[in-house]
Amino acid sequence: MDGEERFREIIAADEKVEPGDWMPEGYRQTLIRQIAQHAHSEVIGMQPEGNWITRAPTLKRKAILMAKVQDEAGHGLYLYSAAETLGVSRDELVRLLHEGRQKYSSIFNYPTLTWADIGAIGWLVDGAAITNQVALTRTSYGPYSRAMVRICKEESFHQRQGYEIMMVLARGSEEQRAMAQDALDRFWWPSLMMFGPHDSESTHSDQSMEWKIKPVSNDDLRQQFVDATVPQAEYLGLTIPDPDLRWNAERGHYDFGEIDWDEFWRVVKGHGPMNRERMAHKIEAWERGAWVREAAVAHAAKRTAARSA
Amino acid sequence: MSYSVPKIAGESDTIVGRTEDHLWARWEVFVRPRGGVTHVYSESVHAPDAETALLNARDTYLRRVEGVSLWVIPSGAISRWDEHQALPESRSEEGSARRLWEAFIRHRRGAQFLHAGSIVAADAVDAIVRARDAFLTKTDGVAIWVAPSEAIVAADPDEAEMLFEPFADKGYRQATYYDIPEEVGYM
Amino acid sequence: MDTITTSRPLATYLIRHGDDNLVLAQRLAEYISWAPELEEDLAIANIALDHLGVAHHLLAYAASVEGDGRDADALAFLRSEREFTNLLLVERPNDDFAVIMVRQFLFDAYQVPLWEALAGSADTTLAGIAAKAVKEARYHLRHSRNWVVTLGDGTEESHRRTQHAFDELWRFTGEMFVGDALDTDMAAAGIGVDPASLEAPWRRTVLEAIADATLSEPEDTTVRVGGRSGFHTEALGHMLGEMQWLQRAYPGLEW
Repeated sequence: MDGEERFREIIAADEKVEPGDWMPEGYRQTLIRQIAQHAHSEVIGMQPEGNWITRAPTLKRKAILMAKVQDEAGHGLYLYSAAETLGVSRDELVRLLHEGRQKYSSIFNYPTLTWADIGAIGWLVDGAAITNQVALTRTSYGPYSRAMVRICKEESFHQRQGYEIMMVLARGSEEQRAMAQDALDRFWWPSLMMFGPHDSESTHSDQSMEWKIKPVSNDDLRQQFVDATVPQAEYLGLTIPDPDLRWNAERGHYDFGEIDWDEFWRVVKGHGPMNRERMAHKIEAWERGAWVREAAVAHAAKRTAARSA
Repeated sequence: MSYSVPKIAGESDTIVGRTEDHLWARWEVFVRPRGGVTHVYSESVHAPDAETALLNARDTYLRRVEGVSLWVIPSGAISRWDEHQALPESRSEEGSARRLWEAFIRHRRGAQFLHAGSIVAADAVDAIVRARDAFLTKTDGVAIWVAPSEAIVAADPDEAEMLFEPFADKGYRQATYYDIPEEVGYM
Repeated sequence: MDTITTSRPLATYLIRHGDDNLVLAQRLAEYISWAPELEEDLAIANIALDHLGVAHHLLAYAASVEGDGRDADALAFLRSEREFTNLLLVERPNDDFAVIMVRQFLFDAYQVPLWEALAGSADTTLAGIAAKAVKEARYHLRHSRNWVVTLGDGTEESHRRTQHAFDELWRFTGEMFVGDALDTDMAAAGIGVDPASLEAPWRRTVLEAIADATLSEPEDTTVRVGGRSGFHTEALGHMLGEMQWLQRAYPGLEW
């Protein structure tokens, strides 16, 4: 049996494609693009939350937030590790990000202005991410799927800590309640945008679904997220900023309003509130670290030379 | 976190070639969890040398898992075989210079590599043939990695306390630490 | 010399060591997302979390010893800079990766013998905290020593930066071994340790690493003290301003 035939058979049988297998170049390119984007998102995602570690209001919240931001670094690392099995190094992917040739999730181009934003990110952004990632554990590429399983396991606390912050604020002082509502107002729509364009607009989806890289469609995942989140907002006594939101008994789902797609595309194209700051931070950190990375290689080479001398 | 960022209209895909150069070498990481019977593959880290690789692996892969043993292996020291590659039927002749190899097996697609055991072999191909004969009953969907035993960097058992215990009391990393009411659904 | 008075010397003693760990955790927290490689971001977060955990344990115990109704958070977020009693070394800013690692190394080399000694404290709660902390500190030392040697021996630039970091931080190291009346009382009671006794093991560790790193022992003989009595460098006030802001801006709330 030739490679292509075997590849089709593996996909059809819902088995995992593994690094040694023949795969169409398009499959490889799509995976590199998606896994790298996912990895970059994790790493850039450290910034908006990292913005509050030094100001976290209690020792417990500081530890939780630091552990969570650390997880984002770890998850980026697992994903880069999976991408490397496709024959591209992490250094190369980081270079493509820094040159603006690969992207990260637009959600991280919004600023974290108050402590409540840390709650809202955990609850909504991680909630949306988990919805997507649970689906991705079934993706057809073995290393990507295994990274997703590891990540989902670790992230189970991320959403819960965020919701817990929101619960404390929602039953706190008037200022705290206002802070929580403001954070929901600002993060609700960007969270829905995380699922991407409508299925009808999404050029990549068909091929990705056929290859089983992406097992569930954007719109289905978005609906799943809205259905799960509305009762959570109600429990907090907060109002979701969407006048069109209502239960549709016939469909068994919530109906919700249309996303502002102009804003969506504006942010994707680099004109969101924080695009430039996020990239500047990332590139500066990388450049500041250059002498350290080089020194480590130089030291290792000297040690090796000394041993063989 | 995640998600697909859609392509901008008119933006062409960045075609990514095969560029495996990385300033710091890649090391493959294996962890034996508490209660586990063998070392399980746990992805990789980058590091300039063995000591840093071991520390990086500990800081990356033992944040929650209670490990009892940790190995790192330079990726370049591993020889890989899977179902697509032909293998010699028989082992190399006895008598040639032989050394110890560690064999890792992925028993089916989608699964992780597990440490299967050690074998004495003349070279990498011989090690793979012997690992197949020793540890496998079928080859469909199976993959084998072998590495010379001396290439494995292992945490010293005397250091287990400092390497593995500090993670035990960080309960806030677990979902159960947070009290979320049942009414709001599974989270 | 003391601006800090308390009828409960044990609480004061615990707060000193708690403050060391809290302030260093806060400094490391500032650095997250700025490390030279992803792996190092993970490592630094682990170290910061360890220090934060030890700080939390020590401050919570201090608060219970005080019995004034304050808790660990009140101690961390509602004391002013004159009431903080950390060593000056740990409040030094994150100038570059060499300073961060050398600062860590100099402190780790002190904390290992400190916790080893305190693990035998007559106060069983403190002994328990120390027994756990010593395992963490040994790992921190292994990590920071690895970097100090790597950077000292690496390239011309890394050597220069690392030597500079030692030279700049050296004057803050003597303070670790200067005891006061409280240290004497605590050591005499079998609860604490005489800081002077930690200097010899510290010097051994430090000089060995300096040699391995092809660096030179700094010649600076200045001993800058003041942290234990709340006489800090100007760096601390800014750090506390940021760390305590939310608790100060919205007093008395739950978070």
